[in-house]
Order: sequence, then structure tokens, then C-alpha cells
Amino acid sequence: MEDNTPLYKIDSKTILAGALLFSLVMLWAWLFACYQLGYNPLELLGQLRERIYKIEYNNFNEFPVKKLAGVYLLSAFYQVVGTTLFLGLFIVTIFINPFRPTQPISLNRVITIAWIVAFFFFAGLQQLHRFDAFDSEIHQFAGKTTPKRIESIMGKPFTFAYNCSRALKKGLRVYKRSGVDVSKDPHMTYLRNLAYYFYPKISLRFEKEGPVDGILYYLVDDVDKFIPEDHAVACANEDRSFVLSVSKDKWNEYVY
Amino acid sequence: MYIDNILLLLGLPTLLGYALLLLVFRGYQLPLLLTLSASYGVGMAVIAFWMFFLGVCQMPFELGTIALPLAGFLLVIGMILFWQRSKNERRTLMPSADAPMKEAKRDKLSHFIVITFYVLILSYLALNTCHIFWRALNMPVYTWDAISTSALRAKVFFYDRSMKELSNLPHASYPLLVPFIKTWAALCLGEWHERLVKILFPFGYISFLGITFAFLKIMTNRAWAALGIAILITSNMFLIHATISYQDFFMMYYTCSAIMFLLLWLKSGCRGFLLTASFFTGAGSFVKLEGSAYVLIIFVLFLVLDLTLKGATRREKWLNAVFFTLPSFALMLSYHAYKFFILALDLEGTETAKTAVTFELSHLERVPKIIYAFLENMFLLGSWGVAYMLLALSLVIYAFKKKSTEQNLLLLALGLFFTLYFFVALCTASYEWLAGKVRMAGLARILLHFYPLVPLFVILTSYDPFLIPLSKKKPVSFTPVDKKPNKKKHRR
Repeated sequence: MEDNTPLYKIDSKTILAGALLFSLVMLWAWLFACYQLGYNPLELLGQLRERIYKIEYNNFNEFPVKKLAGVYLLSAFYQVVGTTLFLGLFIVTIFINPFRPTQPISLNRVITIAWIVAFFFFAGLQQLHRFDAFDSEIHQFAGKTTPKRIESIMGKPFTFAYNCSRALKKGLRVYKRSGVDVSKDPHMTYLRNLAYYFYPKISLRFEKEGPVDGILYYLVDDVDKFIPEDHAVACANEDRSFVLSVSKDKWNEYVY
Repeated sequence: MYIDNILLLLGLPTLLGYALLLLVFRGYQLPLLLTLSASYGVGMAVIAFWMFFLGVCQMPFELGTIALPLAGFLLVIGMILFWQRSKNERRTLMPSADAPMKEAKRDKLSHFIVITFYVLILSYLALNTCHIFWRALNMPVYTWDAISTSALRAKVFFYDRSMKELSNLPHASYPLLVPFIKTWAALCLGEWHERLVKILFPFGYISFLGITFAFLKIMTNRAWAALGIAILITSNMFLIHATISYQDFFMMYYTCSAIMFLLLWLKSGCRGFLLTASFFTGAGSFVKLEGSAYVLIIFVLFLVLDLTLKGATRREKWLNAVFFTLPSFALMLSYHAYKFFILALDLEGTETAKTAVTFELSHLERVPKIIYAFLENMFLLGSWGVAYMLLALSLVIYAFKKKSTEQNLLLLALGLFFTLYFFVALCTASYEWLAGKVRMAGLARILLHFYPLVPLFVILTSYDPFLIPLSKKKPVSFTPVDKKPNKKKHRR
């Protein structure tokens, strides 16, 4: 079904009045949603600040939205937009259009004005939370060296790989010994992080040519029992959950 | 400290892309914003394909082997353009920028609305763009896929100066555009810099916004184009992927740019747009494995347009098909051929396991779960802002409004993408990633590949030149303006 209403130019007063009307209706609908969720408006604003999604560094696959009173916040927002549309259409068609015959407003225009107002309302609210995210990221990362920044996200696998790489003169082939199942998380992730940060000094994801002169111990209990006599520890983290040993014969060749 | 390195890193691909676009569109004058923005994507893809060629020929990845031949190539294109310029007059694809809108006499209130509207939109855009740049350049490579595949590969290519270890790397069959351009970044920087190698992404974001804005401005007007950009950046997923080094951002970039250029070809009749769309489609197939399926989807879109093209002869339609099919399919097949015949990868039990089609009647039980997973992701979670709500409202408008080919095509594109993933979830083991237990790790990233089509559809459907009387310019028409009439204006 086509809309055959000709495109009339609308004067700026009508546009402004329409935007104000929809904003007011939307505000009312929002207050109504607050009432339904059992929060007073100020309290709800505080809750929203905590619960609406924001850009966080660990959300790169999906942005989960926390529920409020068992309801998805976005579904509450849709209710607000739906109410606004319904009331807006009602007010425009019943009260305004008959008195402004030179400014006919089609259904399409009403929907468009409503979504533009809803969009600005949503984007403004969302931007507040993006500011929060920006602020927390600045506190976490600004002014730090790159290794410190990585460490603040990755923790000890990075620290270990970074220190070991600095301790080694050249590339080293290693055996891997693990005390846990590294095919499951979180160890799979830790091991991949190690592989990334160890490269090019140590290649953990694929084999390189050359003699194997080192052993990498990953979460092996009582690790010192397993280090061969002809090996010495080149680097280890504080709790000795990650240890790298190098053959004593080749020590000077590999370790500073 | 790294300014000259960054200038080379971004400058050479952009200049190369710009020159290539001028060559493709010689005789026509394109909007500067569109050309500059698309140059980045064209140039980066050229760098990646050139590195691929070097890798296949077992030549080392050095600045000299990459930049010098491309700089020579740039010089040759420059000379061709210079020679062509002196022979032909250029036709503009846009009306004069000074063409006033007849009824654009504003009163004070209109002026106030205009200023407020632009201030709000520009502030929103500026704040988020600053955040994107800060985030991309201050946070290191840290995300799962980057560390386990794309950045790891780039790091290996950078330190080994070759792709000889490719077959030993995890997911060796995955395409290489993003690892190659990261390697290029590291080569220009002279080191593997954990933060600066990501500089490609925020500039990709700027470039994509430029293409989208220019496209919407051509189709509507400046105010509606600005609104479209604002809707685009309400998506957290879109923004965050412009700051991390995942491949999905460039997958989206090339797929959606290809569709926009296809629509510009429809509007203008200029085959340069078709060729660029085809190149972007092929480049997309070199970003992720999904890109090969998208080549087929974009080919279907092209076929629909080509077969329904009015006033074109059969010969012209065949010629269009050659222009679109040859570059896109050749680029797509080049990497697949390399994988199968030179790299001789054994794909059994690895990547094919996820996409092997097996249909049993019991799979029908998945249908409601798939629909729920898609709807939940689109409407209830926080990845897309309110874009899908606006899409739903636009569909109501679409139902009651005169439909344009552009709207129909965008809707068809969205339908094809959703259908593809519906059947992938229904008939393959990827169900777990799309609608099963681990859907939160896969679905949103897949939806990102075609998400920008949603704001495009919303704006094209809702566009009403008198509702936001903010543009000084006429809605743009693509009628070529030429001082000397030329019979071959429309090369359809």
C-alpha cells in the first residue's frame, strides 16, 4: 500500500512543536516505566548508570545488558517508544491535524519524528555511560608503559613471557610440560597469550628447526622436582607456576 | 616520534587507492570525500594482495620489496592520469555544490533548529571518534582472536619476513588481508609495536564513516546523511571493533562498501562504481572465510540489478557481468587456489568441520532457538543500540511508502545475509556459535558484517526532504554534466 500524500513542506514551528510534544510524551512514558519497574525516577537513573551496557575492554564479542527488576532495559525502552508513538499519533491526528489543515502530517512523518526523538533520547543516555567507560579506561591505561598496560589486562602470563624474552639472547626451542589440561579455558587462553608474547624468542604454536635446549613448565606442582640436573632456571614467576629452564651446557649461548 | 613512519604506513596505500580510483573513474569527477575515503580501503587491499603475491613468489617482506614497486606503480598511474587529463574534459557526477535549494530561505527558528541539530550530531560524532582513537592507540593487542590468529600471524610474518610458516600456523586456511596489513604497519614502524599496529583500525573507521556519509549524502541530503552516521555509531559493537585488531571490522568495511558502490552504480550508470564494488567484494573474500559466501550474495544482488536494468542492451548487461564477476571472483579464487594447490592444506577435520552441511529432521528443533537467538541479539542485548528498533519502525514506513530500488536492494541484502546464517545455524555445526551455548562468542560478530545496511535502510526509507529542512543543497542527482554532449555518458 503506497502513501499517496504529497510531500508538504512543514514550517519550523511545527517541527519544533512536534519534537517537544514527542519529548514530553516520551518523558511521561519513561516515568510510567519507572513506576512499573518499582523505582523512583532518580533512583532509576542511578541504577541505569550502573546497569546499562557500556564499552568495556572485555566486551568484544557481545554487549550483555543487565536486567532490572527482571526486565531487559531495552525492552523497557521499546515500551517507552511504543507508548510515545501511540500517544503521539493520537494527539497529532485527533487534536493537531484538524486545526492545521495546511500542515498535513502523514503516518510516515509521525513515525519518523517519533524515532528521531527516541534516537536522540537514547543516544544521549548512552553517551553518559560511554563517558564512564572512557574515564575508567583512562585511569587504567593512561601514562603507563606498554608492558604495564598489557600486564594490567593479561596478568602473569604476560609478565612471565616479557621477562623471559628479555632474559634470552636468541630464539630457543622448548619442550612444554603442563600440570593441567591446556585444551580448556582458562589455561588454553593463558597458553595462547604466552605463545603470542614469547614470539619470536620462543615459538609455542608451531615447531621451528634446531635443537631443543629448554623446558617450559606450565602450572606443574612442585616444579623443582621435574627440572633435570643438567638444566637451570632461566626465569620464573613469583609463585613458580611458570618456569623456563635452559640446558646448563648452552646457558651462555641463550641467557644473558 | 613515529610520525614519518605513520605517514608512510597510511599515506602510500591511500595515495595508491586514490590514484587507482582516479584511473577507474577517469573522465568523471567524484565527490572528494567519497574518493578519499574509499582510497584507504582500496589501497590497503592492494598492499595485502601485493604482499600475498610476494609471499607466493617466496620473496621477502621488506619495505623495499613492498613500497618501491607500489611507488613505481603509483608513478605510472600518475603519468597516465596526467596524459588523460590533458585530452579529455571531466564530467561531474554531482551537481554544482553551490546549487541552492529553491525553498531554503530560513527564518530564525529554522536556523536555531539547524544549528542545534548539527551541534548535537557533530558533538556525538566527535566525542566517539576521539574515544575510538584514544582507545585504539592506547590499548595493546589483547583480544582472543587477535592473539591466537590474526596478530600472531602478522607478528610471525614480520619477524620471519616471509609467509613460509603459514602452513604451520593455527587456522592456516584463514584469509590473510588483516595479518598482511598489520605486517605492513609493523614494517613501516620498524618494530612490532603492540599499540600502533592497530592504527589501521581507527583510520578504517574514519574511512568507512566517510564512505557511508558520502553515499547517504548522494542518496538523500547532508542532514539525513549526518543522522545516518549517528545511528551507525550508536552500536557499541561497531565502535569497539574499530579499536581491537579483529578481522570482522574489515569484513564489514569491504562487504558494506561493495553494496554501497553497487547502489551508486545503479544510480549513476558509471561502470567505475561497478568495478570498485567488485574489487571490494573480492577484497572481502580475502579478510575472512565468510567473505567467499558474501561474494555470492553480492553477486546475486548484482544480478538482480543487472537483469532489471532499464534501457540497457543485452550486450551491455553481459559487459556489466564481466566487469563485476571477473575481478571479484578472480580475487576470491586466488587465495583458495593457493591454499589447495600450493599450500596443499589438509582441511579435513579442521575448518570444514564447522561448515559441513548435515541436515536431519531433528535439526528442525533448532528453528525456534535460532530465531530467538537472532531476535535477542538484535533487540535485547546492547551491541546494536536502537538500530534494529529503528529498522522495525522503518519497515512500517516502507510498507506504506513508494519503494525505491535502493531500499528494495538493501532489504534483499539483509534478507540474504540473515537467510544464509539461518541455514548455516540450521544445517551445520556452527549452530553452537550462532544459536547454541557459545552464541555470545560468535553471533554478534557475524551480525556486524552487515550491520551498516540497517542505518542505510532506515535513512533511505525515512528520508523526507522537508521534514528536516536543514540542507542547503538540493538532493543530489547523478545526471552527468558535460559541456560537450557525449553520446556515451551512461555506460550501462
